[in-house]
Amino acid sequence: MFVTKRLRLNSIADTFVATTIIVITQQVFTGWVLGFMGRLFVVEVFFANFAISTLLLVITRPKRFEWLEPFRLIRSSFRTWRRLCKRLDVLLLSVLDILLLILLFIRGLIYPPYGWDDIVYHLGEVGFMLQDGNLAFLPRTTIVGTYPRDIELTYLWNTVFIHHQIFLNCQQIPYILLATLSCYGILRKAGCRRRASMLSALVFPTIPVVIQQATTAYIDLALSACLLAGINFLVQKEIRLWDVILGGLALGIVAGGKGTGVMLVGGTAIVWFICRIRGIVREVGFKRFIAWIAALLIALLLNGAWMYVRNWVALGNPVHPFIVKIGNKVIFKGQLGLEVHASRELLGQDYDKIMGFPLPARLYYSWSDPKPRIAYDSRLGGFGPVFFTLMLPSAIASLIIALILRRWRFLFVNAVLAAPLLSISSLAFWPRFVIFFTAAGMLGFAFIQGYLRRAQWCRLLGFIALTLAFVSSFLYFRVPGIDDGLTGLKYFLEKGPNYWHASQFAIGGVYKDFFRKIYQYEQPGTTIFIDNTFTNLRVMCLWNLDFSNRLVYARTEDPEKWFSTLQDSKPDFLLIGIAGESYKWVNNDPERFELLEENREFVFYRVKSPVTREGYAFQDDKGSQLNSPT
Amino acid sequence: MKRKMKKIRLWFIKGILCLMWVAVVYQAVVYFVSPVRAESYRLAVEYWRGMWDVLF
Repeated sequence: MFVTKRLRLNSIADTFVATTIIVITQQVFTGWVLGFMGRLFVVEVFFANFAISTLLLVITRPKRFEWLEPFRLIRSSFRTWRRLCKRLDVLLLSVLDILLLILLFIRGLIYPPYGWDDIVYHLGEVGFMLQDGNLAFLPRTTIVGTYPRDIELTYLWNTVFIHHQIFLNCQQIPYILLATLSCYGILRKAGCRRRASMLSALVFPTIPVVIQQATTAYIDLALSACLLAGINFLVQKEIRLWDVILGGLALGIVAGGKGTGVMLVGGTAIVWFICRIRGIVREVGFKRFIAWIAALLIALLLNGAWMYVRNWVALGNPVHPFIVKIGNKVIFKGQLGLEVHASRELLGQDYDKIMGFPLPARLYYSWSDPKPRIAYDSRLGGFGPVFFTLMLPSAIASLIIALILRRWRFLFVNAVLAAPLLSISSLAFWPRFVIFFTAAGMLGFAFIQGYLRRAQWCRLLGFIALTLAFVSSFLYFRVPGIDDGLTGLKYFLEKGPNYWHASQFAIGGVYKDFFRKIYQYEQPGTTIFIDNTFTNLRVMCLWNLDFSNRLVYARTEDPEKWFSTLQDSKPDFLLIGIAGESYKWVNNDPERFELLEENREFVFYRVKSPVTREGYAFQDDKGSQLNSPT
Repeated sequence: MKRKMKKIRLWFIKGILCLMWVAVVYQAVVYFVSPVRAESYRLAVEYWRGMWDVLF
């Protein structure tokens, strides 16, 4: 906050957004540096950040009266909010947002991680970082294991100091505030009135996909929030070097947070560059402009380049697991094409249906929420009634009016918001990938309010927005599949906090009982050995609530290494797949491995005596020797 | 001439705003008057009722 004070930003909203971006940058930077050193543990994280914060304090040299600056900022932001709340619709919408955030926080606390991607890799990465203190590729699969992980590094902060799973589901809630403030900033910079901007931005938390994502550890909401924060600084009217740097840092988090982030950033940066080059060169001169672009790139790389450099060095492909081709020539080898294979699998018949539409029709269909349920991974639908009924017509009308009146600034901000949407046009129908685009609807809505001559029309629009926001929250608060019959909520309230653990949900009914049984063995200090035959991938179910047990992983392709890992790690338990080779090896050795639990796919053994190399041979199910490591 | 142009522009903008209101009503009908939304409503009522029972 002292740093942002020195930057003399235009508004309180910008100060909060800039502070958040600087905090995330610090988290990401220390995370990567300590991770590379293999020292990503609580003491090191604390002292590294303490040192950086102290250094920043020394550089900014706050005077004595400035120490209360954060409180003053909060007080003045509260005053501004109170002034804006003189309009009843703004006040009621604020109250709705606050209530919604409180409810989301409570849901996040009570429900353990339930999102599929959370349990499989987003939180799996956090768990391994916490356990091993390094940034090793996530085991079992190199496909998700090599994805960028800036956002996961920010999630690590919620667990590294308290060593508990309690906040794992609340990690995206602060990003709602970041996105709302960024939307407000963007709207103001596009020339919209203050109250209209506030009213529009306050709709953001009530968007169904935001409500659904808020209590998962997915990264899409965080990514969109950072993208909006970056755009907020880049569309500044009288842009300065610091705006460019802050914009670069925010966009860097987007690029370093997800593979598609690179495309989002690329689209945004290109359109911004084309639209602003003339103005900036005229304002500051060509030489300084080049320096600014260099600063933007450095800021972007500081936050965004880590995982790509690492993948390039370790795997020879910066965008692993994707194959990069120019024509027929393969530039970087990988495992997947750039098109998304999962779409057809996840959407089923809908995929063929919507792929037959042109892009605008595809988007319109998705934005009309064609399914009764909207899930956290929001395959079709998720922008909700406010966007579809109010903001979409407003956005189109505002574009036409802005063209007639030649409001270039407004059109420029719209272009910068549309650019990332178009840069991932093949995925744009999937609302969770383009949450940021709701800001374009808000922009149109706020603009239109400025052109309504009579105050009562404005009030009417405000109350329609408020009603639709309420309807949106009412209809789509429920998490499909998780809240069915509220059995989950009843179970967790009845059992108490000791059972608020990922294994208790274990999404996918057939595995629930299996993981619930395994949970009783996850005692502090125990080690569970898994290998690649454990294809279930729900690694988050295997750590206990305070991450005080360990997971060890090996692959069966190399029996020698598999055995030596098993021997060295001295595991207490073994979890493997029935269909794999390792099952044949250990199943014939009941003296060492006692069968505790099994289902139709996996077996869970207790390792009775330490596995020693002597006298041990890998045998298949007929007893014939496969390999003798001795 | 300039004033006339300004007037035409103003009427044009008014027309667009009127069309926007029509579009808002049309979109609201498309969105809410459908079996899909009726199902969403049913699920939501069931959920909040259940929540009320759990909490109180």
